[in-house]
Amino acid sequence: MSITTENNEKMITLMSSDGEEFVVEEAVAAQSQTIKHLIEDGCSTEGSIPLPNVTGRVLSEVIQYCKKHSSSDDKEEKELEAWDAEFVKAADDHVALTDLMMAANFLDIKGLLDLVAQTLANMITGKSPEEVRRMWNIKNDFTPEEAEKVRKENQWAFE
Amino acid sequence: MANLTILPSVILEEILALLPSKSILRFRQVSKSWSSFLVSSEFQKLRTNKSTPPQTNLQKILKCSAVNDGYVIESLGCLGGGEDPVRLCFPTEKYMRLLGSCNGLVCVAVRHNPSGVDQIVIWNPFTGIYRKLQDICIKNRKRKLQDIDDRRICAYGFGYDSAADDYKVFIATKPAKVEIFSLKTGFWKEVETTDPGKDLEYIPEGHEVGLFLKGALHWHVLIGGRTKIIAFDLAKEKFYDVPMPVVEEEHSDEVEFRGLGVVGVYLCLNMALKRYDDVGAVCVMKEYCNAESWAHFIYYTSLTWVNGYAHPTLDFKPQAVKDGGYILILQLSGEVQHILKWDDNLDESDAFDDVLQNLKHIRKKSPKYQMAMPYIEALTSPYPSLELKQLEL
Repeated sequence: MSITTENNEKMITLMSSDGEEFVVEEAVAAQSQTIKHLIEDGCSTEGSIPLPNVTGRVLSEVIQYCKKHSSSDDKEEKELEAWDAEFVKAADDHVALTDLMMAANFLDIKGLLDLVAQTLANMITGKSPEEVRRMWNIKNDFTPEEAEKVRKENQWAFE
Repeated sequence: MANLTILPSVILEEILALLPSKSILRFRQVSKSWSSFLVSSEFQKLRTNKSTPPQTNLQKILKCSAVNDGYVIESLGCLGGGEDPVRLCFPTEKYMRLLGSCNGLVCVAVRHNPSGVDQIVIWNPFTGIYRKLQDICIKNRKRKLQDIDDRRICAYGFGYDSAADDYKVFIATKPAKVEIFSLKTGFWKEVETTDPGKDLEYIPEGHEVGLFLKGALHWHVLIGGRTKIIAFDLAKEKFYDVPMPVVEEEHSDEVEFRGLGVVGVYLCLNMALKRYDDVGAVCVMKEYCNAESWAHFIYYTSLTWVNGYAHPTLDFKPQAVKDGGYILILQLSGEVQHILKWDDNLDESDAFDDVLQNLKHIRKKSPKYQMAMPYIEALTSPYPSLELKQLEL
């Protein structure tokens, strides 16, 4: 199902994993390499493009990002940077950011992937190993002896 | 949507590759898989490709010295940085020597028993990861030759072969035998000692460690009264001569070259005037392997201020670079070292007055033995073949 607006902009419909539909301009959706390839392969003509890995909440954020980045040109780089900073700030916590990053990875949107990766990296830079484990639910599988050995090796990095 | 226990590794790697080195080291504590992944060469490459943020690759100085019954290795921090020395965690306190340093890896010879057989260890002082090399039966050069089969070291070296993306340890033993260890293959192999490599036998004591520059190791040798520079190309595994400074015939008896060094990207020689114990210059080869490009810099007229150690056998080991200025490490009779700042971009200067105050502790205790060399903090793995399971944990 492809609709055309008055400006002759081709519209396509994206469907999230939880069934929410988003009608966006093709140019916006094509910021995602994954969607771009699907459109090129003719997958969008039969109806909406299903995105089984992305929830409606995350998809709406992704579309926000794509809209902004498809409408801005290079001259507005500074403004775009500021917008990006606000955008990731709004995503609030590492869980939302991780979701967003996984979506960016699946949809293959390099700019968004880099943006969120840097945000998460900045977020964890000063954290302790225990805090990082808690963030991503990682199991500490060291024996006390092994943990002590690694700690000792890199002792000065803990100061 | 995110089941965080299965955070895809590709996503995690993207994030981790952006972290500063210090955080990466700390996060080795997170779990076993993080611990080995964060120091793997795979991860190192991923990080290099990202190139953001700028990594601080300032050279630091590594010092190995004798204390009480053992030997310790310390990091003296960046030159001029005013940091306190940090004792590094090295697996042994036995007699050891620093054999070379390249891209964050340091080659150390450890003597486990009095018979003088050395164990070679490749160590990353930043990550603390080390790798003991397969044994090779070599003995210390100082030992008296007991029988004709006794092999004695005449030269060591450690460097990077960019053609093969491999690190190599070089050992030359008497009589005329050269062996190379490849970190990638994990084996020693013998290479043919061709001219001028045979002259390695004439390396003066204390100068056995080859200096790495432009993919090759360099030594200064003394044959009779003649002096020359020999280099070994680590990629081609071939020896070649490096031209010495051109000295006019009428002066050839007056000058003497003592000690080779690398400063920044230049080879340097210490040129002394025989007539005067305390007059000389540092020569710098501005264009590699071009005899005409040797130039004299930094004339010294008196060295008496060096704690009374002014001595005609003063050796230069000009080695490190910082902020475009250069640092000389002076080695006196293989025992004492002094660090001087050479604070100018290859222009004449008398930087000898400019002792780095904050590095004075090098001389403080006058220990029995010490040697120093520059190194950088990098995550380079001593296991370039990416066998994660080999990482010692």
